[in-house]
Amino acid sequence: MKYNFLKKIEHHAKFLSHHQALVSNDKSLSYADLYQLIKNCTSILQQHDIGQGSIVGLSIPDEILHLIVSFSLLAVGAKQITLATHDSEPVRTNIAEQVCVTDIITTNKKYHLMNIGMILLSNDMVFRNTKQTNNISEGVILDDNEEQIYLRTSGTTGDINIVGFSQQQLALQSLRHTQYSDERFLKLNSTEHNNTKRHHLYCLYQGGTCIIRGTSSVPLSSFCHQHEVTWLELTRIHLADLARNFTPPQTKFFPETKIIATGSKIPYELRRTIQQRVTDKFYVRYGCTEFGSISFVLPDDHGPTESVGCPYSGVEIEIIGNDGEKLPSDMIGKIRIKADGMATHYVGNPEKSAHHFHDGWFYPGDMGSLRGDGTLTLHGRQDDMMIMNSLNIFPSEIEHVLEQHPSIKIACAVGIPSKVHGEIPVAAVELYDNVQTTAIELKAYARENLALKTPRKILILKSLPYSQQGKILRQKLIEIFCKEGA
Amino acid sequence: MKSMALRQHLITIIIDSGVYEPPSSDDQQAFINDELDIELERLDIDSLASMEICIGIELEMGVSIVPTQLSQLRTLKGLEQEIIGYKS
Repeated sequence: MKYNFLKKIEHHAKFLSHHQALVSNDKSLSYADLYQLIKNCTSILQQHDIGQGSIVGLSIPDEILHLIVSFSLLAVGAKQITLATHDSEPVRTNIAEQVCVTDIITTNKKYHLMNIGMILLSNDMVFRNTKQTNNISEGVILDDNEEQIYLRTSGTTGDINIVGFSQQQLALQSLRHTQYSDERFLKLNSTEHNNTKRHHLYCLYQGGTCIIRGTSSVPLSSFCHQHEVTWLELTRIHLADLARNFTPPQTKFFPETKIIATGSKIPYELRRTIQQRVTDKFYVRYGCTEFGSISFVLPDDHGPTESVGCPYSGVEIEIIGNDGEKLPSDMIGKIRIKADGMATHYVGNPEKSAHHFHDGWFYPGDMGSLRGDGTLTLHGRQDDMMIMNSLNIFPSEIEHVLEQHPSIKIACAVGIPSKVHGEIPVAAVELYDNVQTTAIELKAYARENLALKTPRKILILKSLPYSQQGKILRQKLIEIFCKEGA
Repeated sequence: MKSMALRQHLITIIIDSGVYEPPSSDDQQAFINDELDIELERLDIDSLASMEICIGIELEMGVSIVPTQLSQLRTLKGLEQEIIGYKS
């Protein structure tokens, strides 16, 4: 195999042996330590007959142990999928059934799922002193295209879709992040979240340092200072809280910390607030599970168009119309993307695969426009566009206006199905703490700024419904509105 | 939904719809108290306001009414009865 994660770790263990690979509040593992622990864990897996042909569900909330087991599974040639402990049992069952999990590795004695065999693992077992000396990187010969890591998509519809990646695909994706080799990388969501896991894998492949925050109650800025975090990835909700609660100079980040926002559309106002109050080293990245990272905005390039920036090197982006023809600059259409390392299908779902993957492109279902300089602006999901009495309304148009209101932290617009009008635009909002406003006031504000495209109903919610990945569950919101009107 | 609450909703929908001649506060209250009926013609409802009224009724009461139906009704009380008819 040309791209082999274990060979990379072995290489780092040899040439960067003392360089920190994984750091948490109570552990600091060098690449040499990590490689040894992977060897120990590989030996345990082999004793349990885990190898090629095994499809292993991982239910390990301890992030360092999770990553060690993950690498060990790659070493023995097994396939793996995370069965996150924060997911409900029906969700875990659904995922395990979709990929036909044969074994589950867990740290919880009481854990059970269907009748799948359990392997109980602990830190003690892996971190014991008996050092395995086997050479693991040469152990299993796999085809370059053999899918080994399954990731579930963070869809907003509630459907669970799964994509599989070979080590080669993940390695090719990680080449979009070669800068990780010099970074101390922190992502607030845990490794049980797919996007965090893949970036931890990229970071370790590149020889960087993954900082694990776990359940530390130390304020984020202090934690970053303490661990000299240089690369901090946040979702929009984290970002909004940070912008609101950051009080310089008391809360000071490590001077080298760059902040990267991922996961959903980041309003210009929020970007400006972060740059003015927290750090000017602020980036925005657009990506998806099926593809990895697509584009990014550099600190000097934020603007009112709320662009998600230029594509990463090796990534091609096109905007196409309904007829499949490429559209000129500034026209809004469907986004399609291609790059080495992208997924090629959804596991066990040929219909959905045919819809999203064809002619060598991946169609993420997002609407966008490309400017002449190659920067991409998102205009919401293709499926989310509402048509009310022949008027096309993108949720982003409504959300953008609502989020200019000083009381609104985040807004989400959806279309309620109507027998007469097609869809009726409505919106739910989450307010900042300690602000006072009413739905009537917000409706008047929206009417003044959006005219016909105004949401006909606005609900103020304590929290919008979010997926585990921090994306708003629009379908859930539609259900809330439908119940309200019943 | 009780009759009084329904009438209260209807008044809110009419005001929100942007009719040219909204009823006075006294007339609104009298209608809510079922002491007064209001002629729709008096409200000067154009096609946009008519669409907004239909949308409001569908969103708040779950009853689908098309603008042509609305134009055939004479009074607000008639509209209330139409909605009750759909809901029963």
